[in-house]
Amino acid sequence: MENTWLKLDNAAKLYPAKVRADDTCVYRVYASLKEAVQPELLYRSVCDLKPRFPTFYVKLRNGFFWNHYEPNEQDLIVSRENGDICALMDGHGNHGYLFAVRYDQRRISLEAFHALGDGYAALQFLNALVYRYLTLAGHRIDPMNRVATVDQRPSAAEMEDSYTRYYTGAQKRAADACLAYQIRGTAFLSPAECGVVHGRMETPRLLDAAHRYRTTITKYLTALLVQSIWLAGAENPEVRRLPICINVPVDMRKRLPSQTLRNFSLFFTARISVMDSLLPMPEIIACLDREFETNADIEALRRLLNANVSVEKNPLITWMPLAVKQIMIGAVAAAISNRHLTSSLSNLGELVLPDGMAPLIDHYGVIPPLGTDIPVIATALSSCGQTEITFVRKIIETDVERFFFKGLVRDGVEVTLTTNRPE
Amino acid sequence: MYQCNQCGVTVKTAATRCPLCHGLLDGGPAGTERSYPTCSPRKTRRFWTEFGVIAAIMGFHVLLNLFVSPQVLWSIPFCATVAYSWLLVALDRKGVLRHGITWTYHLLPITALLMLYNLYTNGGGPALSWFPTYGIAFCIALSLLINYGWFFLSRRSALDVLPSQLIISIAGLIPVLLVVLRVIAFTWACVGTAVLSVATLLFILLAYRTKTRTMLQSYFHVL
Repeated sequence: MENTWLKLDNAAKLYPAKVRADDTCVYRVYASLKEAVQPELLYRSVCDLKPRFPTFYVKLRNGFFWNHYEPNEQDLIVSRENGDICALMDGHGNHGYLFAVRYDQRRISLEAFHALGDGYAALQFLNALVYRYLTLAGHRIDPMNRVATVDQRPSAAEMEDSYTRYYTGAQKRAADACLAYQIRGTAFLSPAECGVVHGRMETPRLLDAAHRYRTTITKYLTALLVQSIWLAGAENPEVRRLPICINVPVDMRKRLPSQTLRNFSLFFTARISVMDSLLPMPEIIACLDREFETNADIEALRRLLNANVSVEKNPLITWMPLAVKQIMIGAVAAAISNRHLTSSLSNLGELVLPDGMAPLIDHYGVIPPLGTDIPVIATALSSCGQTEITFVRKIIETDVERFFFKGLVRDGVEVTLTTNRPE
Repeated sequence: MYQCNQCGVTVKTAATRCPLCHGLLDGGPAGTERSYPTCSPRKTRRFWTEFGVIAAIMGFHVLLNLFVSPQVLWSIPFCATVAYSWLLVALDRKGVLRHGITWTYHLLPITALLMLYNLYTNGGGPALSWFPTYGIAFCIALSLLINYGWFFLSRRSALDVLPSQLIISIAGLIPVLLVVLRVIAFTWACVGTAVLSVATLLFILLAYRTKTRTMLQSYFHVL
């Protein structure tokens, strides 16, 4: 990366244009260790990983037509958590880096601007960071090819834009959109405020609950979320008039061979048709089966990928000056995108750690980026035999979370909660 | 740890009420933890410190102006420029300017300020007669110097400053071009700015040839 620059990937091009104080496009991944974090070692670990993850240690620059990345040679900053969650990346305070490493008691957190990479990429970076930290702390751990180490060199495959690689130009299909039911509630006083509720459970119990409905964890959790949204809005007539649309991200690395450590996810909308009364779980799951079969099928996703990349390749868009492009993207994003979504649920799957690392770590977790118009979203991540489901909300009411976790308890899953807003 | 009998969940965060149903919790604090630090109040001290320094600088120059050369109120554009620069830095810090301060943020406002000042010093009439000959050249020269200062005093890399310096130095040739085309009258300010611009261009091309090429490639997205 010395004296070089890097194009933003197809998905990343959107984020600099749509970022706002109340839509920061910043998410957090974190690892909770079993011992207190030593800041000096953490700082050394972050510095050591610089040659290994060149796509993370960059700054965003404006070009004439597009943004691009340049290597960032400024000092790195490792700071203590201050209570702000997924706040806007402070260009000055963070020395131009688009990620921030923070610590608090036993937790190491990585907050990243979504243009850098998706949740998978951030988890790989965090995992390598924690591994390096533990190694510096004196633990001898065999990486077992499950974690990136400082003695490896970054490969070109890790830096590629996989969207462009798999773009064929044929069979385009833009995502279908229709108005969706919107969760209503009382907004927090400050747009930067958010409520976070983590529910931790044992993965085998969750798997049992999903298997009882003969489905996967993702579909089970999505169905539970749909049910919770309906119950939380039961008194609102709109819930009986509009469909509930859940945005489900798909990690394309699991569908198409790619090692990229940048964005390579696509989103599809699982739409549950209008419910006059609450449907039982099996019926919602049957409905989701159909949605997943139609929209999460590889051919459908490839069509979506082609549609997304073709927008970028449109000569009108390509030759439009960046300033105009940013205004357009920002306006379009603000005007239409989220009216078609009720909520979002992202299951990042299981993070497999080296055997020697797992006993030193309590759990991993993710806090998703919360936009302006979707007031409640959720993510799930499994690690060390536990699954953590995190809800982030922009409203004071916690009805969706309440019905969701009550549903899990009803299905025999023991849930332990933590929150950032204790009463 | 605490238990919520309503929701059936265990609560690990030290709290008295359930985070879901807000009902009272059962159980003891053993095994609970502080999950997140409480939000620190926004620091306003930095704002007031900066405000004090800026106000002192502006006040000193206003007094200097009034005592030394009251016939020309040069402190007005100076104070406006200082206040504007501070506003830019504050906005940049808040992320409003998205990705840093670019050349447009100082070249254009300084030009506008000087035009306003020109109007003011000529009794409020549309007296822009001297502006094309001196004003544009002066603004460009000032912008070039600001960028030099920014580059040499801050720890930024050459790639941060090159794009704006290149654009401004090309713009610095415009006054001389206008003189050649007989649009404006000949002045030494135009020549001086052109010399400074050519020197800057030569400096960039000789000292940062590779970086300039990389910068141009990235700026226009050509591989």
